Parts: sequence; C-alpha cells; structure tokens
Amino acid sequence: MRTGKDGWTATMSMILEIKNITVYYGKSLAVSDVSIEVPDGSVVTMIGANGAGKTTVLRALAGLVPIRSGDILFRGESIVHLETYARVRKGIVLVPEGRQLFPYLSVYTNLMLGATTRKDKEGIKRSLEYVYELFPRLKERAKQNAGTLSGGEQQMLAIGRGLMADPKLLCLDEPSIGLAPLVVEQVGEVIKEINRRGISVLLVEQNARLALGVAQYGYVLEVGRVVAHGDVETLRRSDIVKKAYLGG
Amino acid sequence: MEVWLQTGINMVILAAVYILMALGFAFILNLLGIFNLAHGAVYMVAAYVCYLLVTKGGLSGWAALPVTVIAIAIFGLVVERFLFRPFKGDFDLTTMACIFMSTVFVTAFNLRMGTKQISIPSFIPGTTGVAPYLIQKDRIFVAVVSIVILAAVMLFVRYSRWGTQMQAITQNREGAALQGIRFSRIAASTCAVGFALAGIAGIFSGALYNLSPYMGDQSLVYVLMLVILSGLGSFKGIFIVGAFLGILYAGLPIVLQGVVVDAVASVLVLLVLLVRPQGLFGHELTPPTGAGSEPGGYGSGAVGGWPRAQKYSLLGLAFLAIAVLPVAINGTYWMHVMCVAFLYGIVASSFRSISISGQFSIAHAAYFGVGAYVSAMASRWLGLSPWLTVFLGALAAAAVGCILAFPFGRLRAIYYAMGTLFLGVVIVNLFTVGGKWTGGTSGMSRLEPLFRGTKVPYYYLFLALVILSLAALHRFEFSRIGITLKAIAQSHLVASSVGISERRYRMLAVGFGCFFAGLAGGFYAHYQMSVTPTSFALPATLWVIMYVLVGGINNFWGPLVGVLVLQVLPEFFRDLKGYMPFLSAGILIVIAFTLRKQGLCGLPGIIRARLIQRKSRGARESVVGG
Repeated sequence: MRTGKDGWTATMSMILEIKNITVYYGKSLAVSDVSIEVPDGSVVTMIGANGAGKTTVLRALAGLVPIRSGDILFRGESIVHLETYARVRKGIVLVPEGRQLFPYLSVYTNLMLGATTRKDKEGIKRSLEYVYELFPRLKERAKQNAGTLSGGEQQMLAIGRGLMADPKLLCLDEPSIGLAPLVVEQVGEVIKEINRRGISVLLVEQNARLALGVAQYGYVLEVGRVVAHGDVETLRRSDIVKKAYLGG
Repeated sequence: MEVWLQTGINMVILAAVYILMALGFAFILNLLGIFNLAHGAVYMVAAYVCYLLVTKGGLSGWAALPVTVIAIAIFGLVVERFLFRPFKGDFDLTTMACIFMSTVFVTAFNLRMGTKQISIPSFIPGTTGVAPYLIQKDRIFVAVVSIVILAAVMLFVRYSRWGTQMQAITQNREGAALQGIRFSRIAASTCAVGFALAGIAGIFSGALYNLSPYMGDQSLVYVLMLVILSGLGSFKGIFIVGAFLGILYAGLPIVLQGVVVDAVASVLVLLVLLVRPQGLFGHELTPPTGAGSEPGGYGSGAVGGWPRAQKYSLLGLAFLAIAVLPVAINGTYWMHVMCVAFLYGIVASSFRSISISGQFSIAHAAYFGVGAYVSAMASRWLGLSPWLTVFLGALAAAAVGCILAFPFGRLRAIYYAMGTLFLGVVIVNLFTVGGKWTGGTSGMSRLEPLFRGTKVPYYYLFLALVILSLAALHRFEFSRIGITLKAIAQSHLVASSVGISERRYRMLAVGFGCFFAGLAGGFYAHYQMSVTPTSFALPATLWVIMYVLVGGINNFWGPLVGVLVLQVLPEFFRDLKGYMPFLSAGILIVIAFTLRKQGLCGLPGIIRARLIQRKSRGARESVVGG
C-alpha cells in the first residue's frame, strides 16, 4: 500500500493496524474508510481540523464507539470484539480529550486507578516512581484533589494516569489543547521521552507544529477521510499541510 | 435521666438505620443513575424474610440475620442483571421498574401477612443497666452493630479497590472505562451492597418496632430527605445529615408532637433543596441520569400508527360504545368502576402536560388531593354548592402548582423528581395536621353529593368531563406553548438561548396540568362523598405514573389507555382480584421490555411495521423465486 517512498512499513512490525474502518453516530457518517498503521516503537500523529474524525478514530480504537465495518489489529490480532477494559488490559491506553480526571479523588488515587488492570505490585510501584520522576509536580500534589490542579498539571496527571496502565500503545487526544505555549513545549518533550522508553504513541493534534515536531509519521484527516500521509518531512513540505496547518 | 438515656440511644439507632438505608440508596443513585423507589420495599422484605426465617424456619436470630442479608444481596445482583441492565440506566424505564417492584412486594406481603402486629424476636432478650435506668439489650446490640457496619462501609468505600473504582465511575463514567474499570461488575456489586444495607436497616427496625407491609414507604421518605439534604455524590454528607436527623427525630418528640416534627423536617428539606439543589455537601455534578437530564424523545410525540381520519373515527366509535354502556349493562358496580376510571383518566392525562416539559413530577396525586380537599372544605365550611366548589378546588390546585413551580423552576431532572416527591409528602402532611378543618388522619366524610340516587348522571357527567378535559389538554399540548415545552425538555439551554423564558413556561405547564388534576379531585370528593389523606399519598402518585408509563409516555392517549387497562381490565377478573397487582405487574414487565417508551399506544404501529416488513420480505422472496 504505502510501502513505496519511505519503505519503512515493509521492514518494521506493526503494533497497530486500523484497516478501512467506518464509524457512524446514529445515521451520520463520522469516519469513512480510514486506515492507519503504527509501527512498533514509533510516534505516529493524526492531524486535522475540527470534525475531521480524529477523536472518533481514537474512540473506536478504545472501544467507546462501535465500528460499522473494517478491522482493528493489535499486534496482528483483531480487537474489535473486545470491550474497553479488555483493550486496556492488552496495553491500548487512551488519554482522552478534556482529560476526564476524577475531580474529587486525590492525585495519587487517580494515578492508582490508572493501574486498575494490573496485578503486579512491584511493577505498579515502578510505574508510579517513573511518573513522579517525569512529573515531579504530581508528587508534590499527590494528596490534593485532582480538580484543584491547574490545566497543565491536569494534563500531566492524565498522561501519568495513562502510563500507570503500563501501555504498549499510548493514544493521546489533543494533549496541548488549552495550554500555554511553554507548557505545550513540555508536553512535546514528555511525548518524546515516553517514546524513548519504547512505548508506541498515537498522537492526535490540531497543533500541527507540535505534532510534526515529535512524530515520525503522520496522517492528515479531513471530513472523516485520510487525505494525505507520509513521513513528517514529506508532510511538512506537502502543499495540503503547508496551506491548511502551518500557515503558509 | 432515664428519658435522656433512652433518647440518646434512640438517636443513635435512628441515625444508624437512616444512614444504612440512605447509603445504599445513594450508592445506586450515584453510580447507576437509578432512582430506586423500591428501596423501601427491599427494607420491608428483608424484615419479613428475617421474621419468617426465625418464626417459621426455626433459625435463631443470629443465623437469620446473615442469611437474610446475603439473600437480599443476591437479590440485588438479580435485579441489577435483569431489571436495571436491560434498560441501560434509562431514567423513565428504571423508575417504572422500581415502582412496579415496590408495588408487587407491598401487595404480596399485604396479602400474605396482612397487617398483624408482629415483630422479629429479640436478638438478645432482656434489659441491662442499674436499677431505675434500664435499657433493652437489643437496642444496645443494634446501635453497636450498625455503627460497626457503617464504619466498615465507610473505610471500604474510601480505601478499597472496589470503593475507589466506584467513586471513579460516579465522578467520570467514561474516564473510568478508559482506565479499564468494568462498569457492569461494579454496578452489580454496588446493587448487592446497596440492597444488603437496606436489608440490615430493615431487620434492625423490624427487631425494635412492629412490622408492616407499608413500613418501607415511610422509610423511603426519610431516605429521600437525607439524600436531598446531604446532596448527590457525597457520602460524608450522608453521615453528617443522618446523625442530625437521628437527633432531630429522637430528640424533638420530647418537646413536640410527632406530626409537628414531620412538618418541621419536611419544610427544612424543601428549603435546602430550593436554596442549594445540590444539597449541603453535594458536589455540583451533572445529575447522573443520562435520560433525565436530556430526556431523549420524552414526548417527542411521534404520530405513529393510524392515519388521521381513521384515528378520529375509531375514537368516535370508542366514545359511542362507552356512551351506550349504561344502557347495555345495569350494574351499579360497573358504573362505579367507569366513573373512577374517567376521573383517573383526567388525572393521568394532566400529568402529561407537566411531563412534556421535562418535569418528572412525583406529586401529582397530591395536586389531585388539593382539589379534593379544597372543594370538600369549601362546601362543608362555607356551605357552597359542590357545583361551584369543584372549580374552586381546580383553581386552588392550579394556584398551588403555579406558586410552587416558581421556586421549583431552579430544579431539573432528578432534583426536580426528588423535590416534587417531597412536596407531595408535605401536602399530604398538611391534610393530616389540619385538625378539625381537614378531619385529620381519618379525613372528611358525608360530603354533599352532586346528584342523589343512581350513578347514571355521574357517568355521563364524567364522560363529558373526560372529553372536554382531554380536548383542552390536547389543544394545549399541540399548541405553540406545547411545542415550546417540548423544546425546553430537550434542551433548556438552547430554549433559553432563543428567548424562551424557561421558568414561565414550566410554571404554565404545571398550572395547566394541576388545574385538571384539581378539577378531577373536586369531582372525586363529591362523588365518593369523602376524602382521606392516604388516597393522595405517594402510592397514589406512583399509580398515576404507572398509568402514564404503561399507556405510553410518548403518546397523548397513553395515560387514558393506561388507566383503562390497569383500572378497568382487572375488574373482569374480579374473582382473582387479590392477585391483580401481579397480573398488572406482569403486563407492565412485558410492555417495558418490548415496547419501551411507546407503551401500549405504540402497539398498533409496531404490529403494522412487522406486517409491512413481512409483506415486503414475502414480495422479495417471490421476486427472487420468480
């Protein structure tokens, strides 16, 4: 399919293959015939305007909305029949748009809830240490209620909570939304750091500059369809991305 | 001294029993968004089961207690799996399921056990203490055990895995799913725990006081009071408010009369609800009812089924048949059945004009009662003709509805349901405390009748009344105002953003609906020639809602059909009458599972759709074959 120019799909194993999925909300078509692949150990991004269907693809991946047709393979196995919790157990973790924290529970409890599907006490402890190392601010505020954190801290908590599940594939939905430019940069750094630990990342963004800065491969969605894809260098040079997302 | 000692321990017991009950109720409400009106019934059933195990089953109290609690918990699992889960948390349908469950249990135990004065034998007989200051050991036992259980539950919710997962779901359902929390599992266990807690409360109060099939209704009112005061989403609040209510209810009777205590407490609750709808300790969570906050299709009034002309000719035929009925039969009894059904038809239909605006009011029988009482009082104490007073009653009910709709305009969805439920209780309390003027608990009798002699004039009068009222209600619902109300129900935000005054329209809806409920009430009082507070209490309101739901909540004719089916149909099987509630419950369940919101009125449409489907399939097959 797209093995052509860059050729890397041919050489790397895929952790995630979304194959021609179509999603409807009631009678309205949200995503049509979208295919996306995430090579193991890489960062892949989906960019696009409001209503392009990016979030829907992630929700379908997490099992929050059913797909009408197509297939989703995780490490070569179909997961479409699995409920959300079973997908989390397999290592597919979504950090949703708007963070979806538990506002009246402490930061610590929020993080521990991220480890719901895990049983290994030692591993959970190590993950917690890693999260605290990545976001020292969360350690300081461990006993505070999540609802009292600032926007940036809440985003960190959401990502930290996602990491507590020991993900193989971490899906981030608009992590930069509503954050100050300086914090957006931090989020970019954190994604790179997470990826260095060997976790594959599927990043959905409106902020194309951030997305293309951290990803190796990208997809552009418009009104529910993939209109362009390629490695980030190619995308950055392509007219469609330049005009619509990079302002020039 | 002895009084204070007794009072002290009573405070602890009352507080503990309330908190046990309310915690279970709040668990289910917060997590599943289900307004478990059967909670009182569960409490009652547990008490009876424990009693039967001890007296008939030969178990000791110590064995019967855990056996009953476990059985009730398992029952909770069953209810969750087969009653709550299939409805996916839909507010109307689960509320209906709970009402039905409650009615079945209360009727069943009433039939089997009657209202004999019985009580669960003591766990520890005898008394303790120094000579003049004696306390039953049982009371101490109950106080200690319930405090231990409460502490355990509190710690469990706070620190256990299950507890934090439960809180997580309460605070953010989707967020919880994304952490890999299994909603269905937590929901099932929550139901089990909630039911078990209600069961424990029931057994304890059954051991200290007398059993009655109706004991659950009263305790349900206390539970609602507690939950409203403390607020949704807060478990800490339940403990604090529960302790406060325990002190209030055990302490105040020393200085005040029981009825006044009730009145004081109810007014307190209403005030809190109006000032702080989220309760004293509640978080400002969005109401947990998916269906309640955005009543999807609530009165979206799909004009399904019959073409217009056909519909009207059918209607005409039906009325003709009803009109000649008194000629065809001359049983006074049947006439009576139809008269009452006509009046209830008006009451249930008038509920609709309120409910289409998204206000799930649980006070409708109380408005009906206002009409009845005002009319009765005006004819008795002012000596006015009943022909005049029935309209006074209707106006009074409309006025009460309108005035109360003003403060209640702040409340929406489940808060509105809880508030109006309470309002109904307060109104009926007022009938009871009215002393000479309202006749107290026994009500008023030997009222002035409208006609003397046979029931035939009543029959035609009420028939005309039904036709006129329904015409007016129909006009109202399909007028511009009715459409506006439906818009408000679908989204009050959008409605106000296009310049609709939500409060004014909701007030209008309540006033209009209450007028007809009150009118029916006035006629009812002078037809029966008596009024009693119990005919307008919570169970009566629940029946009104049942009529509406069974007939079909999406259809204008639903309430009338519901009344005819549930009130008149059973009369054909009068010999089986004791078992009637079960039969109607069976009908209810079938409807609930197959027709959902369309109710019985949706039946023709569904059958037709099936036929068309079959026909087209047949056609396709024949094409393929040929």
